[in-house]
Amino acid sequence: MASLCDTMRRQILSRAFYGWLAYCRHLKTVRTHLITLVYPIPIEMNERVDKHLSLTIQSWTELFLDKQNENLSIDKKEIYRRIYAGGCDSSIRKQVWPFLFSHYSFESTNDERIEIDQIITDRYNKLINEWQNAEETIIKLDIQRSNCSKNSTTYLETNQNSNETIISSVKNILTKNLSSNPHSLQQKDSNISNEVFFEESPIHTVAIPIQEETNKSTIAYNQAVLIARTHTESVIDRSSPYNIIETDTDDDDGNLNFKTIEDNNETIIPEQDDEQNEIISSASSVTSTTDVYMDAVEILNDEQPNGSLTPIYYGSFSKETVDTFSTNLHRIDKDVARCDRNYPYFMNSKNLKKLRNIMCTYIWDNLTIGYIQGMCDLVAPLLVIFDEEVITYSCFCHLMKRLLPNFPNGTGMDEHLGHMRSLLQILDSELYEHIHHTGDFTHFYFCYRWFLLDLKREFIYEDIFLVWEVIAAARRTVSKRFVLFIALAMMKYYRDIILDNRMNFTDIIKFFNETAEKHDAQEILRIARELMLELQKLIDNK
Amino acid sequence: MDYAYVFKYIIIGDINVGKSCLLLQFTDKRFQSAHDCTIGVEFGSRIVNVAEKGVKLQIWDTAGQEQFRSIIRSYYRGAAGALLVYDITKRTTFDHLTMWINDLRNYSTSNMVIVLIGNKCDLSDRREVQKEEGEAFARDHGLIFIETSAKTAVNVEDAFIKTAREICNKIDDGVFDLTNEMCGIKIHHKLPNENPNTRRNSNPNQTSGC
Repeated sequence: MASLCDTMRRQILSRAFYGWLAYCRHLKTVRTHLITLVYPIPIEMNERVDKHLSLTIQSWTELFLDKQNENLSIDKKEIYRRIYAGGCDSSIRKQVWPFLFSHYSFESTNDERIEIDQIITDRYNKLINEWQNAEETIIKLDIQRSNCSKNSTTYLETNQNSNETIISSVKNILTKNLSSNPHSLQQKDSNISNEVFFEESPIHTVAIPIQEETNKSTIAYNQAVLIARTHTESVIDRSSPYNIIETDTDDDDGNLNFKTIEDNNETIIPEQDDEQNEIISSASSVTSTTDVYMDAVEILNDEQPNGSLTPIYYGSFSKETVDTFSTNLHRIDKDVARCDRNYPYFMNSKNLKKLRNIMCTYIWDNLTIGYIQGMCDLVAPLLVIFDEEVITYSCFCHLMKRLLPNFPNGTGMDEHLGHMRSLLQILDSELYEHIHHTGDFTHFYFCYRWFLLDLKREFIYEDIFLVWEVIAAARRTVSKRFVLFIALAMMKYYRDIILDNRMNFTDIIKFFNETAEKHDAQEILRIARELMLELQKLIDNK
Repeated sequence: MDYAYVFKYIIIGDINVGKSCLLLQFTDKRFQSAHDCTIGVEFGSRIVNVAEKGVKLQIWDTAGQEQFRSIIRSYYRGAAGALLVYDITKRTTFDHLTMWINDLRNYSTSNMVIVLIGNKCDLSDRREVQKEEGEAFARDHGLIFIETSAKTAVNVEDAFIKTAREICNKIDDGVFDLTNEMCGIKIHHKLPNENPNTRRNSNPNQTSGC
């Protein structure tokens, strides 16, 4: 009996010991995996977060507008704290969001903000000008290709007017009947390269975008087929804060190379460069040098029926740039046309046009990244709030700095999914065990879209505004990755349904697909803040 | 409706070939031209009648853009059927088929039944890929071939059901190891708390013909 008791005692002790050991290991997991997720701030700060707190019109006036008028410093922590607790009043979002999305800083003066606006506007206009030039080139290229493949005779007989008609019709197709943008496209049609490219001279056209009056005298329209192009630096401003990835698409060739396809009758056009520069970057302030040089034009592989060759026109851009942008443009057009068409704002084609402009500008500036599906989703809520291109563009650029790593090829998504695993393990071990035991679940892929789009597709628009501003404010108060806690809250909210129905991986993906846009955002955010507090306490008690 | 098996399908193919539209036409019998682009994977299901058995098709719809391909691959595993879709009005989507087939062979279970779908056959005036080319490709790679239109619903039903029938045949031949979950086929054990809320379920008997 005594020995039995002894054995029991020992067993109890050893179990307690192993239990304690497991707990220690558990806490170690918390520390190593999650300590970086939350800011080491006093918990009281978080506990002061009141359910009924939010950034109302009145508190915005007191905390910002009044202070600004009196040139007093602004208590941005208090502003963030209120937004984190309950979001902003919808009527002041347009004023607050530029701060939340880092377009302005709360330390800036009114004059500084005006200056920032001016800089970004100039930059936006410059970029838009550049890509619209490239778009023109693409349109012309398309016309040329289709003309070549269809009927070369028709092409040769085509006169100026009908070309304009074709251009505008192609443009319409490309922009998916979006209302035309008043500034730039039309005016460029008239003065850039139509005349040159569609020059009556039927075959050996000099395909250079210049005004013919000035150059007719200097250029010999003969056997040489030339094309002007610029280094891609001309379109990538390395000093810009908006370039996330350094783009390096320099051509191998040196500057001012002059090549001809047919080696007899070489032509050199020295006056070309200045003219060229002006046209390419008519938005002035080109920050980097534009190296224009002449390069051989590509010849269409399939010869014309009459045996002649037609130059492919790349305008002032490299073939790579034009081709890449053309592919991207196509994708952008497809996605813009189908972006949130059920939301009233995007039923208006003018607004789709704005969305397209912003998207194209961003992609033009980040051509190496290229358009990836989902980007339109991220522009959309910002555009709805601002209803204005430049500020939306600027905020989107800042947003993408944070979200781009989550897109394919980045490491952000794996990190998020890994954190999600650790967090669930710590904060809801029962649910974690269930998920762990239902097989092919280890990757938490059902969260993929949540993280890629910052939950944009999971909530209705009104709620997405709230969710996004809370995430942005959380970055300045509690965690850089608050989206994880919202994701966790989504799981917590439905945990009983998941557990009771013994849902497996497939069931859960299906479940969250079907409940998209049906979630109670307020409640989920409340749970997320609670979970955040729980983790902070856990880490603090280590 | 009761069912004996659950088959997991995956729909793959280039961007904008109509993958999501095929799924929507099959599950909801409607066509939506302005459909949000698919991010990662999306999901649909429907119970159909194949060889006098009810079969629940769990269909995973995937993003077509090449950047998403690595995440898509993780869903190949454990699929019994694949619908490989191209657009008959766009030659490049046909040219990429070999790449998709290689991908499937490398990342999926070996007994997967693959159906090659030439979609958008309602746009025959803009056709760039002839039906014979599709047939030849399918023959060379041992695939089932069918041309469909997600818009007019032509052959959509057939595409899904032919695949299911082929999988059923393979089950009868004992090709699949049904004890392995990774084969993409589950025998349905009726649970008392089975949740019949699959709103996408619809009449399984209706078929359409080209």
